[in-house]
Amino acid sequence: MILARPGKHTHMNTSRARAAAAVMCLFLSSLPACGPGQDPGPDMPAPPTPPDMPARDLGAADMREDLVDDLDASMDMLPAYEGPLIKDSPRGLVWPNNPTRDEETEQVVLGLPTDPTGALDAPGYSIYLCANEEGEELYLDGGLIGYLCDEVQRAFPERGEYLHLKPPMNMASADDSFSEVHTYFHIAQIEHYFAQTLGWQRAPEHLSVITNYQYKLTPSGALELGGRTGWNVMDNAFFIEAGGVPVAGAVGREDPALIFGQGLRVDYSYDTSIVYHEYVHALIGDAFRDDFVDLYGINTTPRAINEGLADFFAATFREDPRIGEFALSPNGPLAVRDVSIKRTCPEDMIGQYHSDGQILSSMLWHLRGELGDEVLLPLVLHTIESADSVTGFDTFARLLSAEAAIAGAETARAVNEAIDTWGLKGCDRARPIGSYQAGVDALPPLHVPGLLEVTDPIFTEWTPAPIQLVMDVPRGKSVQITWYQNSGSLVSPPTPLDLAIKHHTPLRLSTEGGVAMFDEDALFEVPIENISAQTITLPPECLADGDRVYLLLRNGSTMGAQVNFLATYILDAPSEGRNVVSCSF
Amino acid sequence: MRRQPWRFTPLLALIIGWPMLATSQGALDAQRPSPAPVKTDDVGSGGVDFQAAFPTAGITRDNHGNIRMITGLSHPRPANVASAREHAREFLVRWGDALGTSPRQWRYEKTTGYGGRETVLLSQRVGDIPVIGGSMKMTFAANGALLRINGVIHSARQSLLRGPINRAQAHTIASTIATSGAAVVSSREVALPLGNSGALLLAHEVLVEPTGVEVARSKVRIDSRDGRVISRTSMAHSL
Repeated sequence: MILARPGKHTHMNTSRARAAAAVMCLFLSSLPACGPGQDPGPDMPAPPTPPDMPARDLGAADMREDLVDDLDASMDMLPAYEGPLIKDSPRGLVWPNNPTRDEETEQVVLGLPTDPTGALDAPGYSIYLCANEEGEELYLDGGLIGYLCDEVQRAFPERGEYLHLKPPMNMASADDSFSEVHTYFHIAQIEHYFAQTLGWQRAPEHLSVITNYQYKLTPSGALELGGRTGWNVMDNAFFIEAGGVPVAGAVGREDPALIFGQGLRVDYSYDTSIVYHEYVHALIGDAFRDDFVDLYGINTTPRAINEGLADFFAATFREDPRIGEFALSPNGPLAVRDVSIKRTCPEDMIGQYHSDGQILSSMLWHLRGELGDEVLLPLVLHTIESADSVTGFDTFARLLSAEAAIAGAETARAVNEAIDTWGLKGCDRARPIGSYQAGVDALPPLHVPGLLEVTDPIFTEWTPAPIQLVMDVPRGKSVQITWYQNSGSLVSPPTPLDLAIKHHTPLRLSTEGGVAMFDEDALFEVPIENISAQTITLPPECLADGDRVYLLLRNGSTMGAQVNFLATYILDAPSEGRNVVSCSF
Repeated sequence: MRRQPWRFTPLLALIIGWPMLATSQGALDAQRPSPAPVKTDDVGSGGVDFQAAFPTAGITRDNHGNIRMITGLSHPRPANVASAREHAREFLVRWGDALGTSPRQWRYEKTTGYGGRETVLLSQRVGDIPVIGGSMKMTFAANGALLRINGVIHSARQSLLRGPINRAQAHTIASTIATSGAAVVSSREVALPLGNSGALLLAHEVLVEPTGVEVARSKVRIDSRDGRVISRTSMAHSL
């Protein structure tokens, strides 16, 4: 267990929550989602930190000397400044979009900070820099394993403005008060957009915004957690709700916060699409927060909606469908998302919030083109207002449809047509099986939650995957199915997943008597081989000859399982397959 | 027997007019005018066909038959109701029975607004015990009419499943989650829905922190029937 206790320079007493949340994000590359509400898990699954890569000492490729202008030199020659400590309309430098898109920073007018000394406090939020100084101590079972950074405010005006704060020479440097100014400006932009342009006010909770988030490990901590001794980067960004207790285990904090990691390669706060995305999570508040149990198992679409809305509004505000163009990679599990690419249910469902969220965001992006922002956005905001924590795709679709009906027949027609086309209403979450490979085409691993990850008490022996898989079986053929789990260690192989199958219709969950039970036709225990592989061959008698078969993975472990690869092979004879089973129905 | 969907009775007027209604943050039922609880049937819609009363309403139910969402209500605000919050209360008193719930179970949380509309958020309780996930959002039009209800309404008729594990025993169980032991910070009883069975289970939700070091707390939920740890949210879990 990781424990955190206050260190020397924390700006508030709640930073153990930050400790927990941040470290959880840092180390849990398998975590499926960021989370609004109770899950401050990583917004984008983070790759492991290379153990030998110092966070503050990167190569020349990451240097941005071209970003440094000659302002310093010119300011040295200016006469003595006798103006106010802060001008009424102080200026600063920001990336308009991100360092990939923008050739250089842009001079902008900042809102006047509320702090008389010029620290970047606004009425609704405060900006902090995660400095590379030891903050809270981290403990693992009583032993010191490291420290969080110290959250400080370092951006102050010179000559009444903030123009002296520029991107650091080294993009991976935590000595970066430019990020404070940049984020201060962009939070103001998105806040203004919602409050003034759209007329939608966020709950008046003060928001802490922390840039350049990193953490430090002792040698024993590096050994225990797989990081490096010293400062470790964080390739992620996330929102933590006030008082929220994250699903994955971090401690809740008293104030809501947006946290932007200092990544190995990039600073996440430099990507304005990510700043806006996280801010929308804060706006959404207590809606779309929890998984729930339905006919097909665990329905994860509420949090997918939360992610989809965060992407959609960030894209809409920027008039750019790409999320994470700078901070995320072009492919792989930590991939750029593009809301203009159509994704539908159940074809694109995988049970991972960010990925599934693209089903909603791509539908709304399409509707923008059909209806325009002036018609669509009020419908969406009214729908959010009416949504509760377990409003998933189906309920969202019904609410949106009801709003569209109020708006008029033509609007209702367009909305209902999109809902049907995108499959939001009544989706059975049964994805065509095909072949699945995490990291390709922006797919994260298939997550099968562990018993302790699911808060519903009906699951006592196993938990189901959030999606089912469906295949059409050629007559007279056998099918071999192979999948690989993400193996944590050579000496500790993952717990094998069981496979349940049903002919013709999706497996349906019954909870009569408070016990979870699926109506499967057959259930198979599949052995683990070669560290993390599981293979089963279903002969024709196990399959619905020439018909559809639905499959469901089940996890009997307390810990979640990550399936990185899954493939099916059609065989002429069962003897061609491995681990052939028999069936008698 | 069907009753009229909107009939103003003296008893209903008394309930609607109860002055604490608009001011207190407490449970809705803590504000009843009579020492004796008012049965829903006395004032409400027992036996009333809700759909017949609201023919334009679209009702969505979950797979257990509970109402999940009602759209197209257009229920006008009564003349003597001053706020969306009061209107929510009035509607529950009158129609709660038809919805399979009771106003006693609902606690006012907050009212939000957008585009001239107001939305009232209520959370569900069984007695004083919060129902995890039980909530209701009632959306009101600018003219005060109730437009729709969205929420998870666990049946008012289901008794809470209780077991022999008491609070002290739950504390003992929860304190063993860390190898070095853990101290109990606080605990409360919660009602957990048992999947889609419609039943609620009493669980102990215990906040613990490991002994001997500074706080890193875990929230542990323990089944009151057998002491099973249903879930825990902690760093140990995440790692």
